[in-house]
Amino acid sequence: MFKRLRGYFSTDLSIDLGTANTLIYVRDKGIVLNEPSVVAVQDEPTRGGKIIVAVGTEAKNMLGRTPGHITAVRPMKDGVIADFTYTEKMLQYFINKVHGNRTLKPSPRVLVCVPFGSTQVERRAIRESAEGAGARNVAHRE
Amino acid sequence: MAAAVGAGLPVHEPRGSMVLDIGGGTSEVAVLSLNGVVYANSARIGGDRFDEAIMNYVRRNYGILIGEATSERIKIEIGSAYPGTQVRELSVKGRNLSEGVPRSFTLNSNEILEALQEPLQSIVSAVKQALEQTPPELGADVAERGIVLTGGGALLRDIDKLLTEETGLPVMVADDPLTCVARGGGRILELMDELGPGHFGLE
Ligand SMILES: Nc1ncnc2c1ncn2[C@@H]1O[C@H](COP(=O)(O)OP(=O)(O)OP(=O)(O)O)[C@@H](O)[C@H]1O
Ligand SMILES: [Mg+2]
Repeated sequence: MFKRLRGYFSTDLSIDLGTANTLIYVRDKGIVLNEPSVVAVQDEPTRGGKIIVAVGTEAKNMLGRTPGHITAVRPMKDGVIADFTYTEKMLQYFINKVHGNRTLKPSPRVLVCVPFGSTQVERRAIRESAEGAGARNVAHRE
Repeated sequence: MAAAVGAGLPVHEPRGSMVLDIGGGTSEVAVLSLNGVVYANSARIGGDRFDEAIMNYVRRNYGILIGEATSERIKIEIGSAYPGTQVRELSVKGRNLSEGVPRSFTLNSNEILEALQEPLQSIVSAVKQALEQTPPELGADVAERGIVLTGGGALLRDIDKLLTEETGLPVMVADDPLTCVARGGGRILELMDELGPGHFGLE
């Protein structure tokens, strides 16, 4: 019964949070998102620092082509999180993009795939990123 | 694990399956049996290192600076892991270091093969090490069934040939190697509902 209900109201997402590309797979729908793991940020001194101007494909097109006040970054490097804040923002953006931002919807159950070689600290960082991005029951395995 | 499931390997069987995932940042090789990881190792070498190797080669041999995106395009269009019969060429643009101006020049596939030698050899070593450390029964299964490649790096031309040549084992590129991990993770979620989470040794 519980399983049924959950089936109606929630979604299962499998996320491949890769150094180069992030993919999201939804049960019964297949691959719903496939974008480069890139974030573009702009200096915004009045709003206390930096704001995100593009994520994914749009941001990748900016790599190596940005003016001084914008930086396009790849927050994952060598299979691990190099920049925690931007990874979380990126994940949040991608999850919202496929799941919608409706408050009535329960948060999705998410499985994030991490590299075999990742340390406990790195795994916790990924878990916290996904939770920060609104996921529940974040499990992850290699 | 997810990569292997996504590649359709029978990881639940009591037989060894070997999968090598070559991503952007890392290459991971694993031997799986009975839904568990028997051996796994990960090297921080992947597509990014290939791109860097091409940038360095071009700077050294042509005195020209190219960007990451150009380097990736060269790799995808004329890169290969094993000498082929056909030499392919590509015209690209970069900044000449001494003159400081943009210049067009032509690269061929043999040059890129040479540029990629070092990172390719590191991947070969990781696979050989995995084979050495796999228990004999499982190693025999792998020898029979071969190694399955996933990740974007599996799309590098003739990487399967290189690995076959170096290991003597059959090597296959999975269908749609870029999406194996995401699809495999989805399948694992379904199996967890059917069989219970403990089944996959999740944390
Ligand atoms: N046809 C191709 N030939 C060679 N390399 C390719 C090809 N297509 C994609 N790649 C490379 O594959 C890499 C991306 O692969 P993938 O999406 O599997 O990595 P990732 O999962 O994001 O990274 P990681 O698993 O290391 O975190 C990039 O380096 C890209 O340049
Ligand atoms: Mg990957």
